[in-house]
Amino acid sequence: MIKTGSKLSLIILLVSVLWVSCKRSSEPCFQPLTVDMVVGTYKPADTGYAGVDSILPKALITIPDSNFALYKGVNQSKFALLLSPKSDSIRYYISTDSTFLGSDTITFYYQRNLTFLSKACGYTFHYVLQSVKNTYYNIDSVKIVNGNIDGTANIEHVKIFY
Amino acid sequence: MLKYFTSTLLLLLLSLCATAQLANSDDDETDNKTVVVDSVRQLRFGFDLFKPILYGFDKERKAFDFELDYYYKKESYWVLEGGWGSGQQDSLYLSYKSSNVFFRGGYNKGILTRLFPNDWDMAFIGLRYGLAFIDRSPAAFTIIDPLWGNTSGTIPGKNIFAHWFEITGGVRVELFKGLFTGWTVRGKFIFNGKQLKELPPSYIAGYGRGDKPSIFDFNFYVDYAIRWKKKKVH
Repeated sequence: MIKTGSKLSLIILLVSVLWVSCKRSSEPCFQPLTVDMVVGTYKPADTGYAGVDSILPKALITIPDSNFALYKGVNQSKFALLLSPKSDSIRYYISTDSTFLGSDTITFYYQRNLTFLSKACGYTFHYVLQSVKNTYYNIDSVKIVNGNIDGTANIEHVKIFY
Repeated sequence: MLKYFTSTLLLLLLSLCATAQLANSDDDETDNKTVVVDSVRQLRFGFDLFKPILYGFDKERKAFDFELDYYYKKESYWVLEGGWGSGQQDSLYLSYKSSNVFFRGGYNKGILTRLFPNDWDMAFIGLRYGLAFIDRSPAAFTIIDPLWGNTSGTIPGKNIFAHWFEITGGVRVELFKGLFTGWTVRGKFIFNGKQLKELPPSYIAGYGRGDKPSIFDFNFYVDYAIRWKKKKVH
């Protein structure tokens, strides 16, 4: 009963299915494995916490506990900072003119959440920012605008007003 | 998902083409053949050869798949399938294993016209409901971080239940008396995919990749059938 047509379909099927099925189930990881906390610098404006972008002329941002400089003499107003997956807080030194004179210390307090990314990439930490403490040499105030640090693009988490 | 659905549809169409080639327009003759064959019962047991071959190429996917079908009447078959298997995920970031047993139950409808009453070659379409009981081992993970240093840990193991729906199609050819071979293609759609979002089993025997909500699958069976005559009721 099963004639040439189905024999041909069987061959086509075997080849195509072998190709599909023999693809390895392991896949490489193409996702970013860490998430950044995006900080913007502002001048106060009449619009409350909206502020006006304030570009730091020679920003110097370092982690005092590790002597690691994330930014050194850059001229910009948006900064991607890293939170430590090893502790629940982190301190940053922020200077507007690349000297430690008059630099401010900001301490971020947060909750760490172990988050599954994918089978290929495994786990990472996402964070929920809970509070911020800072010195006031140059900084006027610091405001958390979005506490969920989960890798969502185009989100600013913290505003620093000068 | 659309890709798998289209593939399944195409394969069903191929089967229908075969039917069209062989369709017999003589309805009276067909009825006579069906009446004759409906006085016979058939029980067929089969083993999927394709999965063990696949395991030879990919050690992360292991499955043994059996089928049992019973000819009821009017080209209708009740089908029971089952088996077991395992999968493993092993990478720099994540490492865990899973194993499961599965069962599928459903119905096949023959779509070819018999050439003679004892012609048991068949092309079919069918439906299945499948379920699997999965045992996932503890998962060891490492988060690679060049700045702060790597973080490692273990997520506890878990027992998971998965169930799905299948659309099937295929053929069986009787090579010798009672000995069949043939293929089945399956479009599978999982019901409770949300439960498998975190640490999905790398491979669920009977279903496929645990992180896919729909999947295309293939079996190549070798079957043996026994037949007996139905007792006449007076």
